[in-house]
Amino acid sequence: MQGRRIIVILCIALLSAPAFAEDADVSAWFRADPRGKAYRSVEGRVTAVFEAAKESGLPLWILMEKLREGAAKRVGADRLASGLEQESHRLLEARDILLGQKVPLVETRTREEAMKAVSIALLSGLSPAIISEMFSLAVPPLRVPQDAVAALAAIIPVRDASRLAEPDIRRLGAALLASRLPPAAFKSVSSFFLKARASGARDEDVLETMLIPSLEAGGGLVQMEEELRIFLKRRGSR
Amino acid sequence: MKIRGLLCIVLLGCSWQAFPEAALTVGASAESTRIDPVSAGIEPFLKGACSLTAPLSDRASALADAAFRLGYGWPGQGLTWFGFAAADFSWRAGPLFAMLGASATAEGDATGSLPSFEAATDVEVSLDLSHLTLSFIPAVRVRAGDEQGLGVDGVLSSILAAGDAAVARIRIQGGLEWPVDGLPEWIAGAGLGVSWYPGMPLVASIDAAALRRVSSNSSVETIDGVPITVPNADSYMELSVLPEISAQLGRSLTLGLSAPIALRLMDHGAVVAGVLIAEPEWLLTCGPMVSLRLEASPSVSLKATLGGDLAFSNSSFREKRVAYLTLEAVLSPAPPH
Repeated sequence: MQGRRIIVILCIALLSAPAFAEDADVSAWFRADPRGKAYRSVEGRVTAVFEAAKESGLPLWILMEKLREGAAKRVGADRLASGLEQESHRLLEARDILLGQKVPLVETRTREEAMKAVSIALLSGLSPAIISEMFSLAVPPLRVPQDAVAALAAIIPVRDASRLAEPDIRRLGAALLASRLPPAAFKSVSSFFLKARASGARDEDVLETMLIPSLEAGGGLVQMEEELRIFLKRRGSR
Repeated sequence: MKIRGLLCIVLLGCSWQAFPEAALTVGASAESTRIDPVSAGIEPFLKGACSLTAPLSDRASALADAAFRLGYGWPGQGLTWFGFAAADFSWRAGPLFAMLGASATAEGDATGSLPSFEAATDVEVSLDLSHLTLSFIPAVRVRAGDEQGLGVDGVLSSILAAGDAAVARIRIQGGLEWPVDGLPEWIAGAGLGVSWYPGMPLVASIDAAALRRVSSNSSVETIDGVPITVPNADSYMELSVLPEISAQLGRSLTLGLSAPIALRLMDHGAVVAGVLIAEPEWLLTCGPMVSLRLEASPSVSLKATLGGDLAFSNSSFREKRVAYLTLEAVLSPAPPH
Protein backbone atom coordinates (compact mmCIF):
# COMPACT_ATOMS: atom_id res chain seq x y z
CA MET A 1 0.00 0.00 0.00
CA GLN A 2 2.81 2.36 1.04
CA GLY A 3 4.83 1.40 -2.05
CA ARG A 4 1.88 2.06 -4.38
CA ARG A 5 1.42 5.52 -2.87
CA ILE A 6 5.11 6.34 -3.42
CA ILE A 7 4.84 5.22 -7.06
CA VAL A 8 1.80 7.48 -7.58
CA ILE A 9 3.62 10.47 -6.02
CA LEU A 10 6.70 9.82 -8.15
CA CYS A 11 4.59 9.58 -11.32
CA ILE A 12 2.92 12.91 -10.51
CA ALA A 13 6.30 14.50 -9.81
CA LEU A 14 7.78 13.15 -13.06
CA LEU A 15 4.79 14.34 -15.09
CA SER A 16 4.73 17.78 -13.54
CA ALA A 17 8.50 18.37 -13.58
CA PRO A 18 8.72 19.28 -17.27
CA ALA A 19 5.85 21.71 -16.89
CA PHE A 20 7.56 23.57 -14.03
CA ALA A 21 10.85 23.51 -15.94
CA GLU A 22 9.14 24.96 -18.99
CA ASP A 23 7.47 27.63 -16.87
CA ALA A 24 10.76 28.79 -15.42
CA ASP A 25 13.24 28.19 -18.24
CA VAL A 26 13.17 31.16 -20.55
CA SER A 27 16.17 29.92 -22.56
CA ALA A 28 14.26 26.74 -23.38
CA TRP A 29 11.34 28.88 -24.63
CA PHE A 30 13.65 30.78 -27.00
CA ARG A 31 15.02 27.46 -28.31
CA ALA A 32 11.82 25.41 -28.45
CA ASP A 33 8.98 27.83 -29.21
CA PRO A 34 8.73 28.70 -32.92
CA ARG A 35 7.70 32.26 -31.96
CA GLY A 36 10.88 32.64 -29.90
CA LYS A 37 13.00 33.12 -33.04
CA ALA A 38 11.42 36.53 -33.69
CA TYR A 39 12.70 37.74 -30.30
CA ARG A 40 16.30 36.47 -30.43
CA SER A 41 17.51 40.09 -30.61
CA VAL A 42 16.24 40.75 -27.07
CA GLU A 43 17.01 37.33 -25.59
CA GLY A 44 19.76 38.83 -23.42
CA ARG A 45 17.46 41.50 -21.97
CA VAL A 46 14.65 39.03 -21.40
CA THR A 47 16.95 36.48 -19.75
CA ALA A 48 18.35 39.23 -17.50
CA VAL A 49 14.80 40.13 -16.40
CA PHE A 50 14.10 36.49 -15.53
CA GLU A 51 17.39 36.05 -13.69
CA ALA A 52 16.87 39.23 -11.64
CA ALA A 53 13.32 38.14 -10.89
CA LYS A 54 14.54 34.70 -9.78
CA GLU A 55 17.11 36.30 -7.45
CA SER A 56 14.37 38.53 -6.00
CA GLY A 57 12.11 35.54 -5.46
CA LEU A 58 9.41 36.76 -7.87
CA PRO A 59 7.08 34.18 -9.43
CA LEU A 60 8.55 33.49 -12.85
CA TRP A 61 5.33 31.99 -14.23
CA ILE A 62 3.76 35.45 -14.30
CA LEU A 63 6.63 36.75 -16.43
CA MET A 64 6.44 33.63 -18.60
CA GLU A 65 2.73 34.25 -19.14
CA LYS A 66 3.52 37.80 -20.15
CA LEU A 67 6.24 36.62 -22.53
CA ARG A 68 3.90 34.14 -24.21
CA GLU A 69 1.09 36.70 -24.37
CA GLY A 70 3.36 39.25 -26.04
CA ALA A 71 4.68 36.71 -28.53
CA ALA A 72 1.15 35.50 -29.34
CA LYS A 73 0.14 39.11 -30.01
CA ARG A 74 3.27 39.55 -32.17
CA VAL A 75 4.38 42.70 -30.38
CA GLY A 76 7.75 44.18 -31.34
CA ALA A 77 10.87 42.77 -29.70
CA ASP A 78 11.80 45.99 -27.90
CA ARG A 79 8.27 46.45 -26.65
CA LEU A 80 8.17 42.89 -25.36
CA ALA A 81 11.46 43.28 -23.49
CA SER A 82 10.50 46.62 -21.94
CA GLY A 83 7.04 45.23 -21.10
CA LEU A 84 8.70 42.40 -19.17
CA GLU A 85 11.02 44.83 -17.39
CA GLN A 86 8.04 46.94 -16.32
CA GLU A 87 6.10 43.85 -15.23
CA SER A 88 9.07 42.82 -13.14
CA HIS A 89 9.18 46.25 -11.46
CA ARG A 90 5.45 46.10 -10.78
CA LEU A 91 5.77 42.63 -9.28
CA LEU A 92 8.48 43.92 -6.94
CA GLU A 93 6.18 46.76 -5.91
CA ALA A 94 3.31 44.30 -5.51
CA ARG A 95 5.46 42.07 -3.32
CA ASP A 96 6.36 45.05 -1.12
CA ILE A 97 2.70 46.04 -0.80
CA LEU A 98 1.73 42.51 0.22
CA LEU A 99 4.68 42.12 2.60
CA GLY A 100 3.60 45.29 4.38
CA GLN A 101 0.24 43.80 5.34
CA LYS A 102 -0.60 42.65 8.85
CA VAL A 103 -2.31 39.51 7.58
CA PRO A 104 0.15 37.78 5.24
CA LEU A 105 -0.82 35.54 2.36
CA VAL A 106 0.81 32.32 3.46
CA GLU A 107 -0.10 29.95 0.65
CA THR A 108 2.35 30.39 -2.26
CA ARG A 109 -0.08 30.17 -5.17
CA THR A 110 -2.57 32.53 -3.48
CA ARG A 111 0.21 35.04 -2.76
CA GLU A 112 1.45 34.87 -6.34
CA GLU A 113 -2.07 35.29 -7.74
CA ALA A 114 -2.46 38.34 -5.49
CA MET A 115 0.86 39.72 -6.77
CA LYS A 116 -0.41 39.31 -10.32
CA ALA A 117 -3.68 41.12 -9.45
CA VAL A 118 -1.79 43.95 -7.75
CA SER A 119 0.48 44.27 -10.76
CA ILE A 120 -2.58 44.63 -13.02
CA ALA A 121 -4.01 47.25 -10.63
CA LEU A 122 -0.74 49.21 -10.72
CA LEU A 123 -0.68 48.92 -14.51
CA SER A 124 -4.21 50.36 -14.64
CA GLY A 125 -2.98 53.41 -12.74
CA LEU A 126 -4.42 52.68 -9.32
CA SER A 127 -2.19 54.16 -6.62
CA PRO A 128 -0.21 51.83 -4.32
CA ALA A 129 -1.88 53.57 -1.35
CA ILE A 130 -5.37 52.45 -2.45
CA ILE A 131 -4.20 48.93 -3.25
CA SER A 132 -2.50 48.67 0.12
CA GLU A 133 -5.63 49.96 1.86
CA MET A 134 -7.79 47.31 0.17
CA PHE A 135 -5.55 44.56 1.57
CA SER A 136 -5.45 46.21 5.00
CA LEU A 137 -9.27 46.19 5.05
CA ALA A 138 -9.60 42.60 3.84
CA VAL A 139 -8.82 41.00 7.16
CA PRO A 140 -10.53 38.39 9.33
CA PRO A 141 -13.06 37.85 10.73
CA LEU A 142 -15.21 39.47 8.01
CA ARG A 143 -12.80 39.15 5.10
CA VAL A 144 -9.74 37.31 3.84
CA PRO A 145 -6.90 38.98 1.87
CA GLN A 146 -8.09 37.37 -1.39
CA ASP A 147 -11.26 39.50 -1.13
CA ALA A 148 -9.09 42.56 -1.75
CA VAL A 149 -8.27 41.09 -5.18
CA ALA A 150 -12.03 40.89 -5.94
CA ALA A 151 -12.49 44.47 -4.71
CA LEU A 152 -9.68 45.69 -6.96
CA ALA A 153 -11.22 43.86 -9.92
CA ALA A 154 -14.51 45.68 -9.21
CA ILE A 155 -13.22 49.21 -8.66
CA ILE A 156 -10.75 49.35 -11.56
CA PRO A 157 -13.45 49.24 -14.29
CA VAL A 158 -15.53 51.82 -12.38
CA ARG A 159 -12.50 54.11 -12.22
CA ASP A 160 -11.79 53.53 -15.92
CA ALA A 161 -15.38 54.20 -17.00
CA SER A 162 -16.16 57.16 -14.78
CA ARG A 163 -14.93 60.56 -13.79
CA LEU A 164 -14.82 59.68 -10.12
CA ALA A 165 -11.80 60.95 -8.24
CA GLU A 166 -9.41 58.58 -6.48
CA PRO A 167 -10.84 59.23 -2.97
CA ASP A 168 -14.28 58.19 -4.26
CA ILE A 169 -12.87 55.02 -5.81
CA ARG A 170 -11.15 54.30 -2.51
CA ARG A 171 -14.46 54.77 -0.65
CA LEU A 172 -16.20 52.38 -3.03
CA GLY A 173 -13.54 49.72 -2.49
CA ALA A 174 -13.70 50.20 1.28
CA ALA A 175 -17.51 50.00 1.22
CA LEU A 176 -17.38 46.76 -0.78
CA LEU A 177 -15.01 45.17 1.71
CA ALA A 178 -17.06 46.37 4.68
CA SER A 179 -20.29 45.10 3.11
CA ARG A 180 -21.99 41.76 3.50
CA LEU A 181 -21.54 40.95 -0.18
CA PRO A 182 -19.61 37.81 -1.10
CA PRO A 183 -16.50 38.63 -3.19
CA ALA A 184 -18.09 36.94 -6.21
CA ALA A 185 -20.75 39.68 -6.19
CA PHE A 186 -18.31 42.62 -6.19
CA LYS A 187 -18.07 42.76 -9.98
CA SER A 188 -21.88 43.00 -10.19
CA VAL A 189 -21.66 46.33 -8.36
CA SER A 190 -19.49 47.74 -11.14
CA SER A 191 -22.04 46.41 -13.64
CA PHE A 192 -24.83 48.14 -11.69
CA PHE A 193 -22.81 51.37 -11.81
CA LEU A 194 -23.00 51.15 -15.60
CA LYS A 195 -26.77 50.60 -15.57
CA ALA A 196 -27.42 53.57 -13.30
CA ARG A 197 -25.10 55.69 -15.41
CA ALA A 198 -26.85 54.59 -18.61
CA SER A 199 -30.15 55.64 -16.96
CA GLY A 200 -28.83 59.18 -16.81
CA ALA A 201 -27.56 59.37 -13.24
CA ARG A 202 -24.35 61.26 -12.55
CA ASP A 203 -21.32 59.30 -11.42
CA GLU A 204 -21.32 61.08 -8.05
CA ASP A 205 -25.05 60.47 -7.56
CA VAL A 206 -24.70 56.75 -8.31
CA LEU A 207 -21.93 56.53 -5.75
CA GLU A 208 -23.48 58.75 -3.07
CA THR A 209 -27.14 57.79 -3.30
CA MET A 210 -27.11 54.21 -4.59
CA LEU A 211 -23.86 52.33 -4.04
CA ILE A 212 -22.34 53.60 -0.79
CA PRO A 213 -25.59 53.91 1.25
CA SER A 214 -26.80 50.46 0.12
CA LEU A 215 -23.48 48.80 0.93
CA GLU A 216 -23.11 50.61 4.25
CA ALA A 217 -26.62 49.58 5.25
CA GLY A 218 -25.69 45.94 4.72
CA GLY A 219 -27.52 45.69 1.41
CA GLY A 220 -26.56 44.73 -2.09
CA LEU A 221 -28.03 44.68 -5.58
CA VAL A 222 -31.62 44.57 -4.27
CA GLN A 223 -31.21 47.83 -2.37
CA MET A 224 -29.29 49.44 -5.23
CA GLU A 225 -32.10 48.52 -7.65
CA GLU A 226 -34.60 50.05 -5.24
CA GLU A 227 -32.61 53.28 -5.02
CA LEU A 228 -32.39 53.36 -8.82
CA ARG A 229 -36.14 52.81 -9.08
CA ILE A 230 -36.80 55.78 -6.76
CA PHE A 231 -34.32 57.86 -8.75
CA LEU A 232 -36.00 56.96 -12.05
CA LYS A 233 -39.42 57.63 -10.56
CA ARG A 234 -38.36 61.16 -9.66
CA ARG A 235 -36.90 61.57 -13.11
CA GLY A 236 -39.89 59.97 -14.83
CA SER A 237 -41.37 63.30 -15.76
CA ARG A 238 -38.35 64.42 -17.74
CA MET B 1 -47.58 87.68 11.44
CA LYS B 2 -45.83 85.20 13.70
CA ILE B 3 -46.85 82.33 11.44
CA ARG B 4 -45.56 84.18 8.39
CA GLY B 5 -42.24 84.82 10.14
CA LEU B 6 -41.94 81.17 11.13
CA LEU B 7 -42.72 80.06 7.57
CA CYS B 8 -39.99 82.37 6.23
CA ILE B 9 -37.49 80.85 8.65
CA VAL B 10 -38.47 77.31 7.58
CA LEU B 11 -38.22 78.21 3.89
CA LEU B 12 -34.86 79.90 4.44
CA GLY B 13 -33.69 76.82 6.32
CA CYS B 14 -34.78 74.59 3.45
CA SER B 15 -33.21 76.70 0.73
CA TRP B 16 -30.00 77.04 2.71
CA GLN B 17 -29.55 73.27 2.87
CA ALA B 18 -31.15 72.35 -0.44
CA PHE B 19 -29.27 70.38 -3.07
CA PRO B 20 -30.52 71.48 -6.49
CA GLU B 21 -30.03 69.47 -9.63
CA ALA B 22 -30.95 70.77 -13.05
CA ALA B 23 -30.62 69.66 -16.65
CA LEU B 24 -31.42 71.45 -19.87
CA THR B 25 -31.67 69.45 -23.07
CA VAL B 26 -31.61 70.89 -26.56
CA GLY B 27 -32.24 68.53 -29.43
CA ALA B 28 -34.01 67.63 -32.60
CA SER B 29 -35.77 64.53 -33.71
CA ALA B 30 -36.28 63.50 -37.32
CA GLU B 31 -39.03 61.05 -38.12
CA SER B 32 -39.78 59.23 -41.32
CA THR B 33 -42.85 57.18 -42.11
CA ARG B 34 -44.77 56.25 -45.22
CA ILE B 35 -47.94 55.06 -43.53
CA ASP B 36 -48.61 58.18 -41.41
CA PRO B 37 -47.17 61.16 -43.30
CA VAL B 38 -48.59 63.67 -40.77
CA SER B 39 -46.16 62.57 -38.08
CA ALA B 40 -43.19 62.63 -40.45
CA GLY B 41 -40.86 65.58 -40.20
CA ILE B 42 -38.44 67.30 -37.90
CA GLU B 43 -39.11 68.37 -34.35
CA PRO B 44 -36.63 70.63 -32.59
CA PHE B 45 -37.25 70.57 -28.86
CA LEU B 46 -36.15 72.12 -25.63
CA LYS B 47 -36.69 70.39 -22.35
CA GLY B 48 -35.59 71.11 -18.85
CA ALA B 49 -35.87 69.58 -15.42
CA CYS B 50 -34.97 70.69 -11.94
CA SER B 51 -34.92 68.76 -8.68
CA LEU B 52 -34.48 70.18 -5.25
CA THR B 53 -33.71 68.00 -2.25
CA ALA B 54 -33.74 69.60 1.17
CA PRO B 55 -32.71 67.40 4.08
CA LEU B 56 -34.95 68.17 7.05
CA SER B 57 -33.28 65.74 9.42
CA ASP B 58 -31.20 62.55 9.30
CA ARG B 59 -34.31 60.64 8.32
CA ALA B 60 -36.52 63.09 6.46
CA SER B 61 -36.17 65.08 3.25
CA ALA B 62 -38.34 67.44 1.26
CA LEU B 63 -38.21 66.96 -2.50
CA ALA B 64 -39.43 69.15 -5.32
CA ASP B 65 -39.33 68.36 -9.03
CA ALA B 66 -40.31 70.40 -12.04
CA ALA B 67 -39.96 69.68 -15.73
CA PHE B 68 -41.09 71.06 -19.06
CA ARG B 69 -40.84 70.21 -22.75
CA LEU B 70 -41.51 72.42 -25.72
CA GLY B 71 -41.37 71.08 -29.24
CA TYR B 72 -42.31 72.18 -32.71
CA GLY B 73 -43.12 69.44 -35.19
CA TRP B 74 -42.61 70.60 -38.75
CA PRO B 75 -44.38 70.41 -41.13
CA GLY B 76 -47.36 68.58 -39.62
CA GLN B 77 -47.70 68.70 -35.85
CA GLY B 78 -46.94 72.25 -34.79
CA LEU B 79 -46.34 73.27 -31.20
CA THR B 80 -46.39 70.58 -28.48
CA TRP B 81 -45.91 71.28 -24.80
CA PHE B 82 -45.66 69.44 -21.53
CA GLY B 83 -45.23 70.54 -17.93
CA PHE B 84 -44.82 68.67 -14.68
CA ALA B 85 -44.40 69.60 -11.04
CA ALA B 86 -44.21 67.48 -7.91
CA ALA B 87 -43.58 68.05 -4.24
CA ASP B 88 -42.83 65.18 -1.88
CA PHE B 89 -41.79 64.51 1.62
CA SER B 90 -39.75 61.37 2.23
CA TRP B 91 -38.91 59.62 5.46
CA ARG B 92 -36.55 56.73 6.03
CA ALA B 93 -36.06 54.84 9.27
CA GLY B 94 -34.20 51.56 9.21
CA PRO B 95 -35.89 49.22 6.76
CA LEU B 96 -38.87 51.53 6.26
CA PHE B 97 -39.14 54.16 3.55
CA ALA B 98 -42.17 56.35 3.04
CA MET B 99 -42.97 59.08 0.57
CA LEU B 100 -45.96 61.37 0.60
CA GLY B 101 -46.72 64.10 -1.87
CA ALA B 102 -48.55 65.17 -4.98
CA SER B 103 -47.82 65.82 -8.62
CA ALA B 104 -49.49 67.63 -11.51
CA THR B 105 -49.04 67.15 -15.25
CA ALA B 106 -50.33 69.20 -18.14
CA GLU B 107 -49.82 68.66 -21.85
CA GLY B 108 -51.20 69.86 -25.09
CA ASP B 109 -50.52 70.55 -28.74
CA ALA B 110 -51.62 72.81 -31.53
CA THR B 111 -54.20 70.43 -32.97
CA GLY B 112 -57.06 72.30 -31.35
CA SER B 113 -58.11 69.59 -28.90
CA LEU B 114 -58.29 70.51 -25.22
CA PRO B 115 -55.08 70.24 -23.23
CA SER B 116 -55.10 67.44 -20.68
CA PHE B 117 -54.37 67.88 -16.99
CA GLU B 118 -53.75 65.29 -14.34
CA ALA B 119 -53.21 65.72 -10.63
CA ALA B 120 -52.20 62.70 -8.58
CA THR B 121 -51.15 61.77 -5.09
CA ASP B 122 -47.58 60.53 -4.77
CA VAL B 123 -47.52 57.95 -2.02
CA GLU B 124 -45.13 55.10 -1.51
CA VAL B 125 -44.28 52.78 1.35
CA SER B 126 -41.30 50.43 1.08
CA LEU B 127 -39.96 47.82 3.42
CA ASP B 128 -36.39 46.59 3.03
CA LEU B 129 -36.00 42.99 4.17
CA SER B 130 -32.35 42.50 3.20
CA HIS B 131 -32.73 40.06 0.30
CA LEU B 132 -36.14 41.44 -0.58
CA THR B 133 -37.80 44.83 -0.73
CA LEU B 134 -41.54 45.30 -0.85
CA SER B 135 -43.17 48.49 -2.08
CA PHE B 136 -46.77 49.60 -2.12
CA ILE B 137 -47.58 52.57 -4.32
CA PRO B 138 -51.23 53.67 -4.21
CA ALA B 139 -52.45 56.70 -6.15
CA VAL B 140 -55.56 58.79 -6.61
CA ARG B 141 -55.75 60.64 -9.92
CA VAL B 142 -57.97 63.43 -11.13
CA ARG B 143 -58.07 64.17 -14.85
CA ALA B 144 -59.42 67.27 -16.52
CA GLY B 145 -59.41 68.73 -19.99
CA ASP B 146 -59.55 66.37 -22.92
CA GLU B 147 -60.27 63.32 -20.76
CA GLN B 148 -62.14 63.95 -17.52
CA GLY B 149 -62.42 61.48 -14.70
CA LEU B 150 -61.19 60.06 -11.45
CA GLY B 151 -58.93 57.07 -10.90
CA VAL B 152 -57.61 54.95 -8.06
CA ASP B 153 -54.79 52.52 -8.61
CA GLY B 154 -52.09 50.69 -6.76
CA VAL B 155 -48.88 48.82 -7.47
CA LEU B 156 -47.37 46.21 -5.21
CA SER B 157 -43.82 45.56 -6.26
CA SER B 158 -41.00 43.47 -4.96
CA ILE B 159 -37.30 43.26 -5.78
CA LEU B 160 -35.50 40.14 -4.68
CA ALA B 161 -32.01 38.71 -5.03
CA ALA B 162 -31.51 35.98 -7.61
CA GLY B 163 -27.99 34.78 -6.90
CA ASP B 164 -24.94 37.03 -6.59
CA ALA B 165 -25.30 38.76 -9.94
CA ALA B 166 -29.01 39.09 -10.64
CA VAL B 167 -32.18 40.54 -9.20
CA ALA B 168 -35.78 39.75 -10.02
CA ARG B 169 -38.69 42.16 -9.92
CA ILE B 170 -42.29 41.12 -9.44
CA ARG B 171 -45.12 43.60 -9.88
CA ILE B 172 -48.86 43.35 -9.34
CA GLN B 173 -51.05 46.28 -10.21
CA GLY B 174 -54.70 47.11 -10.23
CA GLY B 175 -56.95 50.13 -10.52
CA LEU B 176 -60.33 51.62 -11.21
CA GLU B 177 -61.23 54.61 -13.33
CA TRP B 178 -64.45 56.59 -13.51
CA PRO B 179 -64.71 58.73 -16.64
CA VAL B 180 -67.06 61.68 -16.20
CA ASP B 181 -69.11 60.65 -19.20
CA GLY B 182 -69.03 56.88 -18.82
CA LEU B 183 -69.05 53.79 -16.68
CA PRO B 184 -66.12 52.53 -14.55
CA GLU B 185 -63.20 50.68 -16.06
CA TRP B 186 -60.80 48.41 -14.25
CA ILE B 187 -57.27 47.47 -14.95
CA ALA B 188 -55.19 44.60 -13.53
CA GLY B 189 -51.79 43.30 -14.38
CA ALA B 190 -48.69 41.48 -13.30
CA GLY B 191 -45.09 41.73 -14.38
CA LEU B 192 -41.84 39.89 -13.93
CA GLY B 193 -38.40 41.25 -14.67
CA VAL B 194 -34.84 40.05 -14.30
CA SER B 195 -31.69 42.15 -14.40
CA TRP B 196 -28.33 40.46 -14.80
CA TYR B 197 -25.10 42.15 -13.77
CA PRO B 198 -22.26 39.99 -15.06
CA GLY B 199 -19.65 42.70 -14.43
CA MET B 200 -18.33 45.59 -16.47
CA PRO B 201 -18.88 46.44 -19.23
CA LEU B 202 -22.27 44.76 -19.55
CA VAL B 203 -25.76 44.88 -18.07
CA ALA B 204 -28.72 42.99 -19.42
CA SER B 205 -32.30 43.02 -18.28
CA ILE B 206 -35.58 41.67 -19.46
CA ASP B 207 -39.07 42.56 -18.30
CA ALA B 208 -42.24 40.71 -19.11
CA ALA B 209 -45.70 41.92 -18.17
CA ALA B 210 -49.30 40.99 -18.71
CA LEU B 211 -51.97 43.66 -18.37
CA ARG B 212 -55.72 43.35 -18.59
CA ARG B 213 -57.92 46.37 -19.00
CA VAL B 214 -61.66 46.03 -19.08
CA SER B 215 -64.05 48.80 -19.82
CA SER B 216 -67.70 48.67 -18.90
CA ASN B 217 -68.22 51.54 -21.26
CA SER B 218 -70.32 50.76 -24.23
CA SER B 219 -72.64 52.51 -26.56
CA VAL B 220 -75.89 51.29 -27.99
CA GLU B 221 -76.49 51.94 -31.62
CA THR B 222 -79.55 51.09 -33.56
CA ILE B 223 -79.11 49.86 -37.09
CA ASP B 224 -82.18 49.00 -39.12
CA GLY B 225 -84.18 49.02 -35.90
CA VAL B 226 -81.88 46.44 -34.22
CA PRO B 227 -80.12 47.63 -31.03
CA ILE B 228 -76.39 46.90 -31.16
CA THR B 229 -74.17 47.23 -28.09
CA VAL B 230 -70.64 48.27 -29.02
CA PRO B 231 -68.10 47.73 -26.20
CA ASN B 232 -65.38 50.30 -25.65
CA ALA B 233 -62.30 49.53 -27.67
CA ASP B 234 -60.13 50.17 -24.60
CA SER B 235 -60.70 46.64 -23.34
CA TYR B 236 -57.55 44.71 -23.96
CA MET B 237 -55.04 42.15 -22.77
CA GLU B 238 -51.39 43.11 -23.23
CA LEU B 239 -48.28 40.96 -23.03
CA SER B 240 -44.99 42.81 -23.18
CA VAL B 241 -41.30 42.01 -23.12
CA LEU B 242 -38.52 44.58 -22.71
CA PRO B 243 -34.98 43.32 -23.31
CA GLU B 244 -32.25 45.89 -22.64
CA ILE B 245 -28.47 45.80 -22.88
CA SER B 246 -26.02 48.52 -21.83
CA ALA B 247 -22.32 48.40 -22.51
CA GLN B 248 -19.54 50.79 -21.57
CA LEU B 249 -17.22 51.53 -24.48
CA GLY B 250 -14.44 53.40 -22.75
CA ARG B 251 -14.55 56.18 -20.18
CA SER B 252 -17.01 58.45 -21.93
CA LEU B 253 -19.05 56.34 -24.33
CA THR B 254 -22.07 54.26 -23.39
CA LEU B 255 -23.98 52.05 -25.80
CA GLY B 256 -27.59 51.16 -25.13
CA LEU B 257 -29.76 48.66 -26.96
CA SER B 258 -33.39 47.96 -26.27
CA ALA B 259 -36.33 46.48 -28.10
CA PRO B 260 -39.67 46.64 -26.28
CA ILE B 261 -42.16 44.23 -27.83
CA ALA B 262 -45.85 44.17 -26.92
CA LEU B 263 -48.79 42.12 -28.11
CA ARG B 264 -52.20 43.64 -27.44
CA LEU B 265 -55.36 41.61 -27.92
CA MET B 266 -58.42 43.81 -28.08
CA ASP B 267 -61.98 42.84 -27.40
CA HIS B 268 -64.02 44.32 -30.16
CA GLY B 269 -67.35 43.06 -31.10
CA ALA B 270 -70.96 43.88 -30.84
CA VAL B 271 -74.00 42.46 -29.13
CA VAL B 272 -76.66 42.16 -31.76
CA ALA B 273 -80.08 41.09 -30.54
CA GLY B 274 -78.49 39.62 -27.40
CA VAL B 275 -75.85 37.64 -29.31
CA LEU B 276 -72.17 38.61 -29.08
CA ILE B 277 -70.48 38.77 -32.43
CA ALA B 278 -66.81 38.73 -31.63
CA GLU B 279 -64.41 40.76 -33.68
CA PRO B 280 -60.97 40.23 -32.19
CA GLU B 281 -58.12 42.50 -33.09
CA TRP B 282 -54.44 42.02 -32.44
CA LEU B 283 -51.71 44.60 -32.42
CA LEU B 284 -48.01 43.77 -32.26
CA THR B 285 -45.70 46.70 -31.54
CA CYS B 286 -41.94 46.81 -31.46
CA GLY B 287 -39.62 49.74 -30.75
CA PRO B 288 -36.01 48.73 -31.41
CA MET B 289 -33.59 51.44 -30.35
CA VAL B 290 -29.86 51.92 -30.27
CA SER B 291 -28.33 54.88 -28.47
CA LEU B 292 -24.85 56.25 -28.01
CA ARG B 293 -24.16 58.63 -25.14
CA LEU B 294 -20.95 60.59 -25.05
CA GLU B 295 -19.93 62.51 -21.96
CA ALA B 296 -18.11 65.46 -23.43
CA SER B 297 -17.44 66.93 -19.98
CA PRO B 298 -18.83 66.41 -16.47
CA SER B 299 -21.70 68.79 -17.25
CA VAL B 300 -22.27 68.24 -20.97
CA SER B 301 -23.30 65.02 -22.65
CA LEU B 302 -24.33 64.30 -26.22
CA LYS B 303 -26.75 61.58 -27.12
CA ALA B 304 -27.76 60.11 -30.45
CA THR B 305 -30.66 57.71 -30.68
CA LEU B 306 -31.66 55.73 -33.74
CA GLY B 307 -34.85 53.78 -33.47
CA GLY B 308 -38.10 52.69 -34.94
CA ASP B 309 -41.74 52.34 -33.92
CA LEU B 310 -43.33 49.47 -35.73
CA ALA B 311 -46.88 48.27 -35.40
CA PHE B 312 -48.50 45.31 -37.14
CA SER B 313 -52.17 44.60 -36.86
CA ASN B 314 -55.06 42.86 -38.56
CA SER B 315 -56.61 46.32 -38.68
CA SER B 316 -54.81 48.35 -41.30
CA PHE B 317 -55.44 51.75 -39.66
CA ARG B 318 -53.36 50.76 -36.63
CA GLU B 319 -50.32 49.76 -38.67
CA LYS B 320 -47.30 51.99 -38.29
CA ARG B 321 -43.73 52.10 -39.56
CA VAL B 322 -41.71 54.95 -38.16
CA ALA B 323 -37.97 55.43 -38.18
CA TYR B 324 -36.47 58.22 -36.13
CA LEU B 325 -33.14 59.78 -35.29
CA THR B 326 -32.80 62.03 -32.26
CA LEU B 327 -29.77 64.12 -31.43
CA GLU B 328 -29.61 65.91 -28.11
CA ALA B 329 -27.19 67.83 -25.98
CA VAL B 330 -27.76 67.68 -22.24
CA LEU B 331 -26.39 70.45 -20.05
CA SER B 332 -26.36 69.57 -16.37
CA PRO B 333 -24.15 71.68 -14.12
CA ALA B 334 -22.82 69.78 -11.13
CA PRO B 335 -24.92 70.28 -8.00
CA PRO B 336 -23.21 72.20 -5.19
CA HIS B 337 -22.77 69.28 -2.79
